[in-house]
Amino acid sequence: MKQLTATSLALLAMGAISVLSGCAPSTAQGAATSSDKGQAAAQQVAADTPVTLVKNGKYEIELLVPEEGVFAGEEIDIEFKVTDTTQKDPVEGNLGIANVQATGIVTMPSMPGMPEQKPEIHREGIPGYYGIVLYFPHGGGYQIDLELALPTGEKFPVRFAIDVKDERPADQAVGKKPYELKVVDFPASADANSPVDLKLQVMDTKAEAVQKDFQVVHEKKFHLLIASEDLNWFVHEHPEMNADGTWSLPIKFPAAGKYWVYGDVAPAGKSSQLLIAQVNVPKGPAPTWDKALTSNLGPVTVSGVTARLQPVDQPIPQGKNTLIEVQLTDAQGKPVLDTKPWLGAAGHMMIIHQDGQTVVHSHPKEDAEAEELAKQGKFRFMARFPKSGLYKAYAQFSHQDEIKTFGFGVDLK
Amino acid sequence: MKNLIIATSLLALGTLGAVSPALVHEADCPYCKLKLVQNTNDKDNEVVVRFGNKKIEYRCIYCVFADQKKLTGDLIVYAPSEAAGKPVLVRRTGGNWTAPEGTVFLNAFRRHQECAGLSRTFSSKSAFDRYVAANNVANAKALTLKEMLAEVAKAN
Repeated sequence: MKQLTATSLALLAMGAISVLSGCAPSTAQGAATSSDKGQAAAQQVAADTPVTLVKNGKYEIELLVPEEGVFAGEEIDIEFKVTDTTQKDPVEGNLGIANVQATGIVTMPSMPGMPEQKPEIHREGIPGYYGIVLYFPHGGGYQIDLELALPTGEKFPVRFAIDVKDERPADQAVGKKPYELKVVDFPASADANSPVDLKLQVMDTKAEAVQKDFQVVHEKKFHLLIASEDLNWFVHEHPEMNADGTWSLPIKFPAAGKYWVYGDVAPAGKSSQLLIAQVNVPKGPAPTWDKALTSNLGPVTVSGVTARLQPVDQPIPQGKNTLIEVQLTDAQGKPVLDTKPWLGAAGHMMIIHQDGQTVVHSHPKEDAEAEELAKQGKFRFMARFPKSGLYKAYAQFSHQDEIKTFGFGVDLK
Repeated sequence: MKNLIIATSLLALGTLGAVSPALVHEADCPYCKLKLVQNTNDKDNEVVVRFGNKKIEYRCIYCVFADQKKLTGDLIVYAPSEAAGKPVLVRRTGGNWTAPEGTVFLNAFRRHQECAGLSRTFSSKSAFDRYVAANNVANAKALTLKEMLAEVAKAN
């Protein structure tokens, strides 16, 4: 059995997460090639400004975002239309271009490391209309890059930018999520005194099949996050997948009680999915940690390193991307400068709302400013708090051959 | 559009599918309640009815005609034809249906599970013949618009 080590800590609170704000269409002239890194950088800024109408010579390409907007956590088929502005159609206005071949890539510029989504694109029933099947793991600005090949032989790229709203409350959610996390054969009489083999399957709800093909994201195909129901105990592990698609992790739970099980995965060609399940451990000792979830921005000390959490925007905005900074100092109060990358990032942060249903896995930005801040022992994470309430935020760093986990509590009024 | 979700919720609003332009798909046909059949690379299947700036999708042309009383005003039906991306436009204007000259209809399904493949529209009799031969459709008859409407009316 694999022992839970440094990443297994009972801690304090705070968190952040997902989905975005409204979609007011705007127009872009021309389009950037997806391979143009310079323009791509510029577009990272532009991604905060929705672009749903693009003109390329005589062609107009419009993304038809639903009036109510687009919500995280829901698979949606958004239409776009390709028209020739020099030719008129008595019904549609401009003439729709039929039989355009299109491919696409969806990214979230503000969230480094998020895997690319390669959505299915299909022809709709009216010439010139096409559908693109999308899933957004959380709110924020997303970029949709299309490569269009017209029947005339003309080819050109199109870049849309949209704002995705935060996930709807559970009681307003519509439809089935494309993937679900299934706990397999978890013993009904699980005892915290004994190890148990936690077995999980990612189910493709549309195909009604076990998903077996995943992308590697931050060096792993499956980031397993487990938290006690009160959120004050937490681990970040990486189970192994069997041939039948079952992920297994031997684990000894620290106490009796219910636990949130989060699977952070990216099925092949799809966006990141943060899937949620729960297990119950009915037997065993009572928790040794304080079960109260409270506001606590630090200091939190682990193995001689002290962490403090500082929201960059104050007050923390609700439903918008924001940055939160973690500063690490040593026992002498000096900045900790010798952290090392872990799982492909300078640090990891999991932000969980008190209801356990809203979770985000974030990483520090990777730019010149981030490099400068790191020289001061500071790490800035992109965060998002979609609703009011208490959040637990776990920041993890690799330091002196140990994964140090710091727990904070954030109260969003 | 393949958002079961939004499509379903909008269709439930009444007015039988006052769907905004960005929606639909993987929804159920408003008439036969079976899943819409998606377009493929070389074959269109979705029947789109446009009224004003709204549109709604049906599983086959039969379903559109059978459901027409629920749709008010003038209609334009984008009926999949023998050519992908080139639907036949069937119109209802002032209550009168019209279709381009030469349009013929196939209406040979026995159960609605078959309707998407056996209730279709063609731009010509020769296209109809090719489809019928390629799909081994038994007892297929090329119907005019008037005959097709009469068959649907009789069945309902």
